[in-house]
Amino acid sequence: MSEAKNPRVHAEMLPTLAAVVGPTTKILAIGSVTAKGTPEAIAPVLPFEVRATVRNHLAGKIEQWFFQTEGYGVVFIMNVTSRAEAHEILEKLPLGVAGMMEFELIALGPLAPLAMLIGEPPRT
Amino acid sequence: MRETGRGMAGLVRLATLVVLAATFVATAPAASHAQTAAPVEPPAPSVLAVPTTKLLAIGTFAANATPKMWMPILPSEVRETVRLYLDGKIDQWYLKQDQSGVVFIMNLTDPQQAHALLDKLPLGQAGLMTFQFIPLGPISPLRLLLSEPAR
Repeated sequence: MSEAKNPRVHAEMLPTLAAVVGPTTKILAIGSVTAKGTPEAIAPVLPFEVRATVRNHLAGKIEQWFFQTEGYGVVFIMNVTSRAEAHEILEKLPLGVAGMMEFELIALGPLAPLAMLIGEPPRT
Repeated sequence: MRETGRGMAGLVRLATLVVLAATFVATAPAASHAQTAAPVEPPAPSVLAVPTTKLLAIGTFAANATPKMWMPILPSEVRETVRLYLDGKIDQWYLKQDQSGVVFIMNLTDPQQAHALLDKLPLGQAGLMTFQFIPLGPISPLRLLLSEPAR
């Protein structure tokens, strides 16, 4: 998990948006293979990775799972409310332990600008 | 960070191609030799190959976008986004909690088409938000679980 600051987060817009930002409800996890993760290296680990991933799904932690069809990686939407919690789960996956896959974690919440639509209903 | 990750994926893709090409070169003479005796088996489809069924779209404010620029546009952006949802194009929508933009999962398979739709949104037209797309498909490694017989 990179803690590098996103250069496109502008401090000056934070107070403006703070009024409409809701809670973190999901974590988007984008998994990419590292240089160590050659197809030959990954193949023997994959059966264990699959089982561990399914266990996380059955535990309700990984809500949605996708394969990146261009490239070799996965995308999860996780039912956790902090990047730290997601990181703790994902680093224990076999490919993570072997240093063959790393995840970019993006905290998600409700699409807050929808609040703009829920003012008083128009009078007829 | 993101670019690095994609770069890695690209490298691995390249490595896979190199390995496949080397395998092909190595087996080609044997295969052509075997052709006289028995029909050549077509290469087995990759166990990981799956169709693209969705697109992950990550929208990020442009580096020069300020609230003063995008706040007046936001009400129309919301409405156009809801229209894309009602058209069945946007399947799921989220706000990035670091307030750098949005994340959509789209019912589209062609990034070009998604680009065309999202670039037409008011923030896109104003050059204040750009989207990055990751094509998604079924979680193909699940196929490995099918190799064991049903009990």
